[in-house]
Amino acid sequence: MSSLVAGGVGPGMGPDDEVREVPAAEWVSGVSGALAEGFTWFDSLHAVDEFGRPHPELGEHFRVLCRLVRWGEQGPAGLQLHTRIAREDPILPSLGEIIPGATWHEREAHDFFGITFTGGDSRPLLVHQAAGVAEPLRPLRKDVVLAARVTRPWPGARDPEADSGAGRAQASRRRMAPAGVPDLDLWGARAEGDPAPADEVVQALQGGRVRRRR
Amino acid sequence: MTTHGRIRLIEDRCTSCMICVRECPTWCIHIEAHSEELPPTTPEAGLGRPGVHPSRGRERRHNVLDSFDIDWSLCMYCGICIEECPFDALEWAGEHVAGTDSRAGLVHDRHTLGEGAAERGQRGQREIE
Repeated sequence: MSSLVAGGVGPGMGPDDEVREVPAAEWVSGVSGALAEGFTWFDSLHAVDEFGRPHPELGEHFRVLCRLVRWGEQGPAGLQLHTRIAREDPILPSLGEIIPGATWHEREAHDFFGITFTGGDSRPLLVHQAAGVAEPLRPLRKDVVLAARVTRPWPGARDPEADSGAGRAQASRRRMAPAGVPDLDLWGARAEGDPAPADEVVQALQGGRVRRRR
Repeated sequence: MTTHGRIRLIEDRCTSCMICVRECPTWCIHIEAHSEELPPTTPEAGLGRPGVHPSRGRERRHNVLDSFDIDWSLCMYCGICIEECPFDALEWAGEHVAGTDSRAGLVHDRHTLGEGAAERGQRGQREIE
């Protein structure tokens, strides 16, 4: 690794990367501008669900970022282009015309977050539609409950101190909940076909110490 | 930098605090432990002096590790457990996890995970001293 790093900037995500915020409408032109500046090595494209940190105009949103590298005489320099798109019906133009390899990453972002990249490759890559399900789960969205986690016992639920006597009384009042599994006290029992609002689901998935309801 | 081959357990440093188990995103670490009572440690110097009762001092509890397993078929080598361990009981080790012919063979116990740790623990101890 260190042999590839020169001047403190490596090909991995660098803390020294320049970061440019680009409006979604200027996404393709922003990236092609960076290519023209010499940032011609495409590293990656991915998305982040920034649920709970609403943007003043877009509200709840996804951040999509593309990292490019310029290989100069002083070693590689990284550039990250960030854009934000509304979480509701997320659409972004594809970079496929200017960086053909980016479509692979866009397919991944589509599968994980449900972002549509117009003009790109819309074939599913990792998450395929199950029979009888209208829309497959988008597993990296923060309001998606991963059913497998609900049915599997969490290894972190054990508490060696409480399990052997002394702390037992204390432990019955508090307990640890794993992140990503809905806490029934917060989420409550819900009738099928009555989906919880996203913010309630996200809250129920936080994990950590949960006070047991009386 | 050590390659991310496997994760080594330095058992002497582990306090069975469960932090690694709870932080692991793939739930691949399993710890079994119990807590034991330690007798009060009354300072010798205080004994026999006026006003110092021999039974002063409290019983203490400490955790005793019974088993520590990592399931390498679930581990994604993210290193969060190593980052989070407050006692540096986990570290990267260079050699990679060997392949097996069954899934159960990818669950390594404390002895397998601790290979090479004795020497590391001693070195760590010397650094502290």
